[in-house]
Amino acid sequence: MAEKLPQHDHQGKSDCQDKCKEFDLQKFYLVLDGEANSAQTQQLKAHIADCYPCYQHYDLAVAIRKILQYKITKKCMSIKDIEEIRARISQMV
Amino acid sequence: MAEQANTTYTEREKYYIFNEEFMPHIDPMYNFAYRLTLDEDDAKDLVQDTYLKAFRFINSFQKGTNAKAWLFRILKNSFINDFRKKSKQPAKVDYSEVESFYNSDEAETGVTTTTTDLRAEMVQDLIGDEVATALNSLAVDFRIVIILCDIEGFTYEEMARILDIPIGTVRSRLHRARNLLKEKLRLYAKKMGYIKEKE
Repeated sequence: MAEKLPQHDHQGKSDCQDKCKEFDLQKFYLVLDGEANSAQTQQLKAHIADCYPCYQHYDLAVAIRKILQYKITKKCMSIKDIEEIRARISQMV
Repeated sequence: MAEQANTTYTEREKYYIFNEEFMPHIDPMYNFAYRLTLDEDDAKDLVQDTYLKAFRFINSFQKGTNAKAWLFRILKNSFINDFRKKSKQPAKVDYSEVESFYNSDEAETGVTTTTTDLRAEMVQDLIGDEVATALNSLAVDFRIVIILCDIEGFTYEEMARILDIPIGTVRSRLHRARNLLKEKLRLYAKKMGYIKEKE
């Protein structure tokens, strides 16, 4: 990924918040999804360490991913249904 | 993937691939099918149909490649091309929602103004059923990318292959899906009183 994460000046949180309204959330997700290169990842980590509004956006994205992974009930195929698939495969030969 | 040249496997090899490379993914496949159909019996039929097709076309699977992505692609295609047409239930897809969001300015700006009052700690307090309901209420195109990326952990490249769309479209669709999901979760958080109405 050759794209660079946007740079912001940090002159106080309210100023940063205004500027960070233009922050590209899509690039947050590149990092979150493991699709960013190491420079982009380091840049984002450094940025959110200083910028509370951006930290909150990132933290929210992480929290949503965690609830999707861990809170939604996982369903399993029953043994009977799995055996039915195997039986039908055997009939195909 | 299907575009690759076929390999001719012996019967023994076919069974080995089926049992060792395909069957271990049956639970993620069933979960994916359930999140698409929102019905346990329909999900079972869709998974069964997918595995039968996978065996029938096993010669187009290249050993050593990503079996899970290959199977997910077949399942997605079965759902879109066959299952949804046969289903008695009308597809729970609100294309107007999809289209209006694709065409909105909000889709391009990234941060929605409506979700700025949602915080990570509020999301952490939501229960699984509420999260599932929010996810299930998304149009199927958006639901699929969230399942593939956030729940199943596929890379953008794998998702592009599963969905037969360019990586750029994967990124933008995922981005929009997440914004929509955030908005649904925000409504739940508001309903629970975590977010107060502004005076």
